[in-house]
Amino acid sequence: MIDRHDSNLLLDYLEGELPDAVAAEVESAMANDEELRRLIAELSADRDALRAMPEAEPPGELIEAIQAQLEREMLLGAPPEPIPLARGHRNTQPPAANQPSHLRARLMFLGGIAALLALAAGITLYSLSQTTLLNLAGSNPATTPDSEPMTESIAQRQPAPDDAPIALPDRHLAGLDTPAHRSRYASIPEVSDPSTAAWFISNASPLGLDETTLDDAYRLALSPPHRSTNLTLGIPPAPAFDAEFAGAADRAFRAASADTHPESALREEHLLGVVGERRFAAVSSEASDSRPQAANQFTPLFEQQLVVASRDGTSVESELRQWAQSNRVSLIQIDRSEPPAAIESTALPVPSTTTGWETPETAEAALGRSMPEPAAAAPSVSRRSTRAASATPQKIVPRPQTSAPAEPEAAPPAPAAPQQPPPDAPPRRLLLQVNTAQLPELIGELQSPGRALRLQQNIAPNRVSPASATLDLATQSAILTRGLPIPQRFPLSPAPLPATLDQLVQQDAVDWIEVQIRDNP
Amino acid sequence: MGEPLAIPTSDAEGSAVSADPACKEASSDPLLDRAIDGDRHALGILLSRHQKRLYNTVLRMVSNADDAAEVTQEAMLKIVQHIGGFRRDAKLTTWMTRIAMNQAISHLRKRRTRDTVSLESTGRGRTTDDDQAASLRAALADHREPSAEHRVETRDIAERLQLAIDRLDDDFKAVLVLRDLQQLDYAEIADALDLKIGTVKSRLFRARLTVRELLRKSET
Repeated sequence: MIDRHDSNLLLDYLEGELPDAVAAEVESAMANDEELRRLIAELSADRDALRAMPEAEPPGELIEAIQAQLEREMLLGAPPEPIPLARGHRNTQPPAANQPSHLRARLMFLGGIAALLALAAGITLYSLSQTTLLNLAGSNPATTPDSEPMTESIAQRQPAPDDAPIALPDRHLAGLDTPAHRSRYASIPEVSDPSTAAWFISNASPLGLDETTLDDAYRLALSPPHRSTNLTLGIPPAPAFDAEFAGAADRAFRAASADTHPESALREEHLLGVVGERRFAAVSSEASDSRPQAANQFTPLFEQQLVVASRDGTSVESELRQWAQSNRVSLIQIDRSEPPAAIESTALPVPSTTTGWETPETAEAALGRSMPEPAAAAPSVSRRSTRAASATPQKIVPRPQTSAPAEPEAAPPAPAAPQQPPPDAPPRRLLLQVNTAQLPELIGELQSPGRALRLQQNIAPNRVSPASATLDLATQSAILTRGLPIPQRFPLSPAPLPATLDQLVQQDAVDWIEVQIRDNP
Repeated sequence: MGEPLAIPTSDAEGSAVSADPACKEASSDPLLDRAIDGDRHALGILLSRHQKRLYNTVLRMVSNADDAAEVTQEAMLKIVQHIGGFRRDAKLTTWMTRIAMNQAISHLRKRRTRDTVSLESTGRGRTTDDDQAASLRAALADHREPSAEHRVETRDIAERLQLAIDRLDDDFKAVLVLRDLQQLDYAEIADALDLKIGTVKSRLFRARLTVRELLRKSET
């Protein structure tokens, strides 16, 4: 006796996947069950109709465009780019009707290439002797070197494809820096099972989770023996680094997404969730929905592919669950492990004083706008102490004692005289004014791997809201010796500025870089 | 670099395309080898063989010829960019289909202007055993026999089918398109969509029920 509500059974029957004996049972049941018989008949008819749907002919310009791109790549070494296709008449005209205009464009393109080649050939020929010219002119055109060897020679100069196999350091498999983490994760079967997924677990600074690193990890996940299209990324939470975790995870998953890896099942909607003011990077495995879904049930650690980067997972657990449900993420993993001791909290408060580079007045004059009123006078202590004194109670990392560049070869010309403020001066600030559209570019520039600045507030590229962020320049001075250029295209205050941020550091001219986001200046 | 091959300017192998390009991708397909090695002529031939299948896959997903052409072009450019990383442990057809599907789904999710059938009300996206059984029960309990006068011509059926497909959730639509229109087997669909076979079957049956429900509504 079959279960008429057994969907798998009915599907297998519809698809002809059942053994004869079981199929006969289904048919027997259908004989006595009019509703079942009708449903099966309808579903079968629908399936047949679907399979009989006519195939459409692709527009002729489609493959033409691809071929043009392939030729362009071969000839010029330029990466292929989409070519705008004609729109609006494909259903009413045969593909051939679209060809003339596209062919014209293609011929124009090829004509341009031919003209360039002819010009190059002409220059070459001009340098030859008259005898050689005559000999060439008398040769058989059919045997004249034509585009074929030229094409081949150019093609041979093509750079290696981007996806050429790359050497992957072992650290990506188990980037566990502390014995506690290593022992913890080692007990998880998936970590040691190479057939499930590649693992990238790092408790290094999340700023190390850059696109390149995660891209490597993802390539590893795609490669044998893993052959996985899911990347499992474990990010231990760390207080004061939530923005960076979220941003790093966001960038990482974007790097692992289909935009970069077309095979990837990761899509943008998996990448970043927002709960209130908190940001979370998360990805769920589609495989999870084959399981009976138990709402609000936390499944064991790392059983599915999901990452939550959270500063304080405990306090947002219910929110996370709610968010996960509404975003079709069936599993939330909250890692409550303590942040690694190696990561120092660099949480710095937004200074209560906004004094500008030198003085509020000069900054105001330079900006042509009103500046906030300075806060109460800072205590008469050192400048660094002033900054700490203006802080809300948070751990402050002292400014490095050595501000000399780690790579002196990149050192810019020494400034004439460092601008040493009086000991009790408030922190000085470099103000960069950008709008929301510019911010990702600026952040990307300042935060790029190896020359990272720490964001004081939670601002992730592509996920910004009008607010202010403060970059702690001082604690990253060693990194800034790499010649990070100051983005002159952004309005800066005050002008003129040194060419690079490390010059700023060497001049000891600024304590803060503040980014003000102003969409409607 | 091997001997240059002529790139067909049209779908000269149209019949082969419709038949099954996968049959051409034997494990030792020299054309594929050359394409992987950077031979763009060989890649052009491969793409011309697969373009019709890819285009139709995308077309059924996005249901707009203009969008389908653009999305297919984007997918093919992705293939061009990443063919060097293609691993022979997967079928080229499946690999290309996965790329095309990813492009199509990304396109749909960006577009998001079309109404989709609310599978959520009965378990959108995540089909559980319970809600699937409930839908099945509802389908079985519907006693209406479609009358003969409601049957329309084949062309109209195709149109209504496409409309029904359009209203499916992307995840369900993808499974249905690959199964019925591309006639892939469960394992191939699972591979192309990075799903478990159980998920594929669950979504397929769910999609079939939903399409049936939509067609019933359109018939009445």
